Amino acid sequence: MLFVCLAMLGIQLVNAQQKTITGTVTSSEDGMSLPGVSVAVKGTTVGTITNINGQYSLGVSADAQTLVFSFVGMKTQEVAIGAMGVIDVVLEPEVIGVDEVVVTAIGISRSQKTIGYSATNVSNETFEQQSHTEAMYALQGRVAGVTVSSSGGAPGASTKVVIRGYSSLKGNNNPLYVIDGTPIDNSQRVDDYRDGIDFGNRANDINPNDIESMTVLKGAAATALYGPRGANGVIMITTKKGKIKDKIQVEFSSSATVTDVLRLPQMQNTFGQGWSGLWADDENGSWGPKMDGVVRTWGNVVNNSQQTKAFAPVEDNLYEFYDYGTQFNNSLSLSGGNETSSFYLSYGNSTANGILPTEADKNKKNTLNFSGTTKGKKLTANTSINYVNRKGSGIPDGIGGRNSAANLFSELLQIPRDVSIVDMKDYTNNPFNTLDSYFTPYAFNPYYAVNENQTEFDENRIYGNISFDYKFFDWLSAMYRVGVDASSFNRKDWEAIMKFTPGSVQDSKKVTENPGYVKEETRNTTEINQDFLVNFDKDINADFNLNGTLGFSSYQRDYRRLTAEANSLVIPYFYNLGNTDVETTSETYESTKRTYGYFGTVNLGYKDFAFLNLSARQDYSSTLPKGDNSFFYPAANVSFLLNEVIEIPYIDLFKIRGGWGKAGNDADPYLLDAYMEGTSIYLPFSETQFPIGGVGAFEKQDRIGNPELKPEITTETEIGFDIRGFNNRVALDIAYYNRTSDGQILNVTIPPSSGFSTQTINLGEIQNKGIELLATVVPVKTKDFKWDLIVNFTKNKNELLSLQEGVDELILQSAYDVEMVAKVGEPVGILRAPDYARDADGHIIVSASTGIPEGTTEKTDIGDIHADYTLGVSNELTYKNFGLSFSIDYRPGGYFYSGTADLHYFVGNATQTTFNERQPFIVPNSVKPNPYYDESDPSSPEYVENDVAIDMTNLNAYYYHSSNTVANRNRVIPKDYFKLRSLTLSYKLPKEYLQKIMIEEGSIVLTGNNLLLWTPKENNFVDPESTSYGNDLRGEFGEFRTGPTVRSFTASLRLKF
Amino acid sequence: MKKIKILYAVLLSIALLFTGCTKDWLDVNDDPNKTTVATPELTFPSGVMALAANVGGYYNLIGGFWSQYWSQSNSANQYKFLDQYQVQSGDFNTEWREMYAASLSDLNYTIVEAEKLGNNSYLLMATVMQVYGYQLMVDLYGDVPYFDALQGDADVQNFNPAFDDGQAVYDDLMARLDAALALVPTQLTEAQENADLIFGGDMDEWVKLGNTLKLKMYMRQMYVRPSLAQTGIEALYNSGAEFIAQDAAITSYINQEYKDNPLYASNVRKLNVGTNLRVSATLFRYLEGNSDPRIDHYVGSGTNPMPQGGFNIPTPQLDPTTVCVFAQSATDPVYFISEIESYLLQAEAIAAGWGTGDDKALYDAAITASFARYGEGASSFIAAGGAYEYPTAGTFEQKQEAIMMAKWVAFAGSQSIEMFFETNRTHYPTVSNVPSWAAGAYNDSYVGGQLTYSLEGLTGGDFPNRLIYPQDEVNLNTNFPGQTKVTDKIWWDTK
Repeated sequence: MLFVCLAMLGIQLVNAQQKTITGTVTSSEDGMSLPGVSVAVKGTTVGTITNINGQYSLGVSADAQTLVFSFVGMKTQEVAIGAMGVIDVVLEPEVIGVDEVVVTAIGISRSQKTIGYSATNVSNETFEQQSHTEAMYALQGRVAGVTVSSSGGAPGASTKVVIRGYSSLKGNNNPLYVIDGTPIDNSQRVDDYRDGIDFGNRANDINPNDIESMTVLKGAAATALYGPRGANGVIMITTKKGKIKDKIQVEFSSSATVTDVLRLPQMQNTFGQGWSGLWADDENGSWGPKMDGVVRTWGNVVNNSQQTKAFAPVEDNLYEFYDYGTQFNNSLSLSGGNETSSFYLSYGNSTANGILPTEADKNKKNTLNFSGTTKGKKLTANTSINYVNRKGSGIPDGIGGRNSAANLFSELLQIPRDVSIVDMKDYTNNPFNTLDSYFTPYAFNPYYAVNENQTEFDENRIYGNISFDYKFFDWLSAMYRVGVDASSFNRKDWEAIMKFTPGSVQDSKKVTENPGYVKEETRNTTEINQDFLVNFDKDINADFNLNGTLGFSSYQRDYRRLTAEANSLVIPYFYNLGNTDVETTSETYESTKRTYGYFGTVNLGYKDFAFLNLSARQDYSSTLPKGDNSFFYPAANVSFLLNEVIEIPYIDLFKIRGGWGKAGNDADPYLLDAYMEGTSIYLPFSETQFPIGGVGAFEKQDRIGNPELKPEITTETEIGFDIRGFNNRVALDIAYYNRTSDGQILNVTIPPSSGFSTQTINLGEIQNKGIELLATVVPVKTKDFKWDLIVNFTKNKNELLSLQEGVDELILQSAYDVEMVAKVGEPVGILRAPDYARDADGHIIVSASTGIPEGTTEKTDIGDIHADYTLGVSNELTYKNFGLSFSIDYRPGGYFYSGTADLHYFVGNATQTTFNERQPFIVPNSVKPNPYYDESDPSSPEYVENDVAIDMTNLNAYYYHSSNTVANRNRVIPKDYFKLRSLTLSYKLPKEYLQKIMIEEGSIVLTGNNLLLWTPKENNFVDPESTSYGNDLRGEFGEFRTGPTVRSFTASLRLKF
Repeated sequence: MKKIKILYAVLLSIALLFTGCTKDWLDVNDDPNKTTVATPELTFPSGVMALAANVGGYYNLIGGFWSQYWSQSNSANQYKFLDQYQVQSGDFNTEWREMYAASLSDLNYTIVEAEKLGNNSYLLMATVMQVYGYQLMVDLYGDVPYFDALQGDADVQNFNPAFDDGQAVYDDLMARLDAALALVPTQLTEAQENADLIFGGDMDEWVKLGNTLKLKMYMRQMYVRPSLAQTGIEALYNSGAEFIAQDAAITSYINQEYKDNPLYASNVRKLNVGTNLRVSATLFRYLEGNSDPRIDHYVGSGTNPMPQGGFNIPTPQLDPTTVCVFAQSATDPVYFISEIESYLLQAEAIAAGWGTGDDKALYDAAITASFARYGEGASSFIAAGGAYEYPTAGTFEQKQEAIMMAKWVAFAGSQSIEMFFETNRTHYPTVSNVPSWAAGAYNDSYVGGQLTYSLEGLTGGDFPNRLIYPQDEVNLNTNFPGQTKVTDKIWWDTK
């Protein structure tokens, strides 16, 4: 109030001395007038802002010398008043970077030039343009050293972000997400990848329209202040805040998206239904004869009648099964503010229905965000509160599904090439499509899975923070901030009772029935973060500035889960835990983890060109052994602006930076001691669970405690250059980093004869070295036309330096006989599979009875999961109000496992299975065991030339991983891809028309995402980015029959009132 | 004034923050989902059921292949490595882990706690079951970790136990059995009785089971240490030891996921193809030749037998839909020592002249019990002139063969691994010199009940005699002595 009074007083004083200056402020970009520009007399509080037409009128005192024009995103301009009465000004947009302020660790804002590590900023324009429902996807291709991928095509699927490669074997390589200074929970909603359902990760809960900017902090030098959780990098999200404005600002955006299948496996169209070369109308595969187009009866005989169809390919049978998906996003925000307080309120809503027929794959998101600031003379209070409700449904794929009928994509992949899938849609009235008489006993009608077996969830989440900032002196302030993130997740899974009518086809074939199933799960997660900071900033003398922060922070995470399931239902289609005739089983789990730490950071600046930052943190964690639960890590970085010292032609900025830092990572809870737990006995593919016969039981936990567990320590060194020149037309950001993570906390196997089978220990060291480059070039810039070219290049080299003593490799993931291993001296994630067994002369040994090659039991390496490099190129062209941009991603190198390929080979749908027109062939250069081999007779050879051809009866076995282990190698395929990631056409609505209808700004954007995908010819199966193994290191193993990814087309409208 | 108030408030909140972060605040790392102590009646069922999971699960599966009760179907591939005798160290790694880190470890905990509590009954029960488990491991692997085993959490914290001589392990097991059998049983509470899923806390039965186990262990050493076996068995009889006359088995399985028979759970309920196990021609032809009605109970469906190791027989030659699936049910019991086994062990001991009693009566009782399990009558088979008449006047060798053939048929699918050991000990059933399948057809000259080398065997004509050591011990145990071959004989296999 006092402040306002003073301001008014000032204006009154101004009015006493007569001199009025008027003028118009326009933008150099489009020549349009700029409303809201602040115009002030330098060194005074006298000022005004331009009106909606960019005009201003300001009375100034006679001795006023200079006017200052400033506007967000524009270069501030100073104009000498002199004798002028009219001052028109053209403001130029500020070139991002030079004086850009970035938000660094703990929410401290610092000028980009003063920091000695890489901190890349992504502004809200990116989010607004691409119209992603999931915010993190907008980082794709924008930040060097950061890879972003979406694990699948289902709506709401999780987004994986990995910064500077994988450095933890245990499985958490995700960065820490921090919103307005407070870390948030980024756990996946479905934490077991074996469920085959991906309901997304929680970092995506934020409404992209609420984001002002995101900053990616990559190295340990940047993230050390975040303690254990920042070890994999930090993504700092700053949300929009209310701005000083003479009215309430309203922003509205709406978008509609259509999604379509991006990639389905290519299939052969020559051979039809059958097995072993023979036609069989109950087979679920295409190992039959060549399709001849002749119309024949087909399928089971039902009520003495049978269907007919042509024995001809239904080329797009799989594609036809899928629908177009839709997605609608709406977002409305109100914001406003004055000198003392501001607010921002928004509501966002998104509804997505995926590509599966029916609404089995839906995802809905409702977000509500409020943030407000109240500023007193000394005390400022900020708050930000978000409420998110998510609802979704899905159908298991990948390795999920409790039984085969519940795993949709596997069912679809096996259908013979001559069978139409869409014709099976009616499985209730059409007698040939019912459960009883579906054409094959080896699978179930896919429409049955879509409609009868489902999973759905509903989650409510509140996160936000409140902070108080008190300014003691100009140079000293203190801040207290508390953040809470609480979510309550409910999930329900069900499977319909599936019983066959006695005497029906499937009944007579003894197909396994399903007694029905229902499962309920609730999970509650609460995280509380508290920070107390003291900030100081003082010029010591004319040359030196000292500023820094001392702080304390604490973290607590509470988690509680309750699951209950019933394995047999009584009343059909009624999914309630009480509807059962067997004992329901239930399970609870809870955990608490707490950490706290002290930290300090000091920045010393000399003459605006040399900067030194030192920081350190001491952490204490509840998960480490008492008395030895603290760990310390320091960090330092320097920044030097060469251009401030010597004049370099054409160079606007030449910054050299270097940083070194450590980051510690603690353990999960409860790994230190040995316990007794409720008994569950392992069986291959199953378990024995108590109670049995009315008896309950406890057992010794298989994992022995480790009272000597220590934190994982990551050490990182980086050096980099920031160079801008040619009047900011060229900008180059280069970084080299070397990061090693030592003492990986990992559960390892120990000899079971000790009475325990695993122990969590510290072992192994992983190194990631790499180069990141981000180049921004403006090749053409005229009054109306501008071309921006952004090139993003990352090369990372990963190596496992050491492992547990006596062990030189660990299996990280496997599928059939393909394994992903961590091997000392190699990149983490070597894929390997059995090789051909060979005789002493190198000939392939085959089975004498089938002619199929024998495999080795020792597996050999095929390659690793890592890219040679990644390259992203974006072009942004603007002409007057039109904008056109497109970005491409190229990722050469690396391999992945494809379970889709595996199934495709097995059922003879893969194009590769038509090799040699499926005529008998002898494996070239092969031998078979000599039936008359006599070990004691040196003249009798062990192997003789192979004359056994693989014929049609064994051809399917030749392509099947189990009967030919060498075939596993075909499932490991190149991961290379080239993607047209996005194509955007935008149009800014002309302001002169908009203003007539009270609209300040407006734009229409048409965007296509993931439009095109090129892969090498060895991969004609799947999008190599898709995975069914979760959103971490394990996910790089590949995919196991995961559903297709999608391309999307979006139209969006954005209006500002 | 206002400034001071705010400063005060800030300082207070800092103080609160810091006091909240004393050492106690971090003291939240005791797992609330688990406990640190349990009673013997809680850990005993864990040890027993984990043992049942292996004896009745994958060890039963192995025994079924190698005793030639079943063979891999020629329309799937799941178990062809067993029919090829091509066992790798990774194949039964998990079973070893479950035996040591679950069953034997939980029984060890039970023994230690029962000793502390002075509960002699649980001490006997857990000792008997642990001896059973260790004997199984010795019979499967030969030398195994024993004296230093299960000491990962002991004061010595030994993660690398040495491998002990199988015979030394046998001797110590026998001594431990004797000690436990000598104790005076403790009166059990109702809960303690109920937690005994085998005999419901009937200590007389546990003593009998202990005696029968001793008899079995002595019989196993019949050829390697005949005098020790003889002395031991004579001592048993002289002490008036009684043997079980009822099954020591788990009969609590029900037809529900996670509560069902372990082999059914792994092989039928959870596999896409639940028909991998087909009735072997070796068993089928024998039962067929003797018109044994048990064939109807061993055969789930189908009409033709599966030649042993015939998984590569092309389907046009042998239509998989006609090949008999081995019958399995979710409620099949898991037998540790069956009534039948007890009778046949006694009959053999008597036939050898080491025990006293009527070997023919025991033999007949065993066959009768086996038939009765399936609701069939055996009287005509054991009567004079019947297919299974006991060779009362024959030599010991003839009697042993009759006893072993009776055991072989009776144990099909239910005590398969035990039969595998018994065949290795006695070398009955005998080995056929012709295969059951030749030149694309069933071989008419093959005589049922004679073992045939697998059509796809990869061991050059040698039958398997053991498992090779599992990956976890091979790779991780610094005291691992060296790998074996699947065809290497177990130390007691000297006949």
